[in-house]
Amino acid sequence: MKKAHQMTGPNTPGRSQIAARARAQEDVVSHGLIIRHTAGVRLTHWLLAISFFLAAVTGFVIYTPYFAGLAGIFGGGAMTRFLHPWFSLGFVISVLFLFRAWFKRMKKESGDDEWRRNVGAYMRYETELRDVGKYNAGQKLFFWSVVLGAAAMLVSGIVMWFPTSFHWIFRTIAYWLHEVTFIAFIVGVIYHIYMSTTAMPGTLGAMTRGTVTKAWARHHHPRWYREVTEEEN
Amino acid sequence: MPSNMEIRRISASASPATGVRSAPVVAKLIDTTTCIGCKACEVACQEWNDLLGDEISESAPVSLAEIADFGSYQTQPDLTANFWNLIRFNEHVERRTDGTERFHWLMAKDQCMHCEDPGCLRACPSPGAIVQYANGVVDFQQEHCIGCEYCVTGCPFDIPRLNSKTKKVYKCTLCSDRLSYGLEPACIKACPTGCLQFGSKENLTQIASRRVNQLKESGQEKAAVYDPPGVGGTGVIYVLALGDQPELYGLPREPRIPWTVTIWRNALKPLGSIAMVAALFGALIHYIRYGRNEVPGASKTGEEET
Repeated sequence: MKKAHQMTGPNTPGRSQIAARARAQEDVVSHGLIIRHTAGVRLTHWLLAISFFLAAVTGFVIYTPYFAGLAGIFGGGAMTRFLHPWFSLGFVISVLFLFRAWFKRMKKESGDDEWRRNVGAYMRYETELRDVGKYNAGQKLFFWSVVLGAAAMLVSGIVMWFPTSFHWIFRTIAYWLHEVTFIAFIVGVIYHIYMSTTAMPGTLGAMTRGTVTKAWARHHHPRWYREVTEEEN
Repeated sequence: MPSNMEIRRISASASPATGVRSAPVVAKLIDTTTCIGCKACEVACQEWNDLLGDEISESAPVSLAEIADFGSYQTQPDLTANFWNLIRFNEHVERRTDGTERFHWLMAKDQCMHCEDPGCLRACPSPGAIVQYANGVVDFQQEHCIGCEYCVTGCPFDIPRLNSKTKKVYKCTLCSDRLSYGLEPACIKACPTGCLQFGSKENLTQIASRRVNQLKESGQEKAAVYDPPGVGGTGVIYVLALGDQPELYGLPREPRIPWTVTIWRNALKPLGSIAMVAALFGALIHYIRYGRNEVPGASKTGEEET
């Protein structure tokens, strides 16, 4: 008990050592925890999250009159319209950096089809699949959806930023593309946040301290667990 | 906005417009056959609305060089954010049956048409930035305008113009400030030939059809009234000598609010809102039914296992 208290308390050597290592390295075991994301990836993800949140709220102001009141926190409707594209540009750039960091690991792998077939059972917490790498098929789908969605938002957003530079056909296409993508983004992000903070305990640490427990990794990403720990499970 | 004008429709509002008092629907009649191109209405519009000589005019998208190269009797090529009423000198060559040709100016008064069903108002996302008064006048409230230019896409007549300095959209107000005090619009007041008339829409529609009959009797058998039903009729109606070819006057044959805009505002938005709320409820239902996936040791520090 004494040991556990020391290791988990603030400013103990173990904790700071993990943190130091997690700044630069991932997919390694450190003091019993597995480092899932480097500090750089986590920082990018949080820049993405913040810029997405700001872009989404300013977007909601323009999307529906029911949220028009939120314009006040950004300095009014005109200011909201001015800020929205800049927040969104920050989001797109964050996606670009995260794409660079992750796209290699988001390619299709052996167990993905099996995971997809068992997605219902996975969400009912009934299955333990053995062939799941660092990212499961659902996470990969979300990743590629976000990349594609950000591209769609960028293209349509540029048209909407400078609307009269484009023919009205392009403007209307942009309105539809921007809106459908926005709805998909909000739906996707609702489940992304729900899964990572509420439904699957132990997940959020991957994006805060950068670490997950061995038990978490063994359950959710067993093949990755085997690769990292070189243990059988 | 004039405080004594009742608001019938208001843009992007969750609740209905406030107006309950009825008012006669007003209209402007433009008899293109008697327009002499004197541009008194343009001057009156600029004067009344104080649109010339201010700094804003310098930011207009039409440069002096463009105007010089334009080569027309028309004041400038197009409407701008500080020029709301443009007499278009449409050049038309009539080929007669005897083989000769005759040059005509088909005058048109390019300005906001004050649609009964305004596409700009439907497209506008900012609460109260576009209103329609009980008398049918469509008016922009620049203090609520966010400069997104959705109205430009929603307008079937291509009227609203963004001022690049203020980032707000402007157009003809039908002199709503004058109307609120019982005065006629400035352009009407200035017209020397009676080609412009102002009054109740009902009354002016009768005058227009009488004038069309008169033209037909005098040999202009293609004369017609332009009051397009695709936008529910307009608050600005025309008598056209070549009524079968409104395009010659720069007027669209069958103006409509683009269906993409209508479905986007009236169907996609509510469906999208339902989808987003449903997603929230979906997550909630999942949580109630399945709770958290409590894997032993998953959320602990893991120190015990070392």
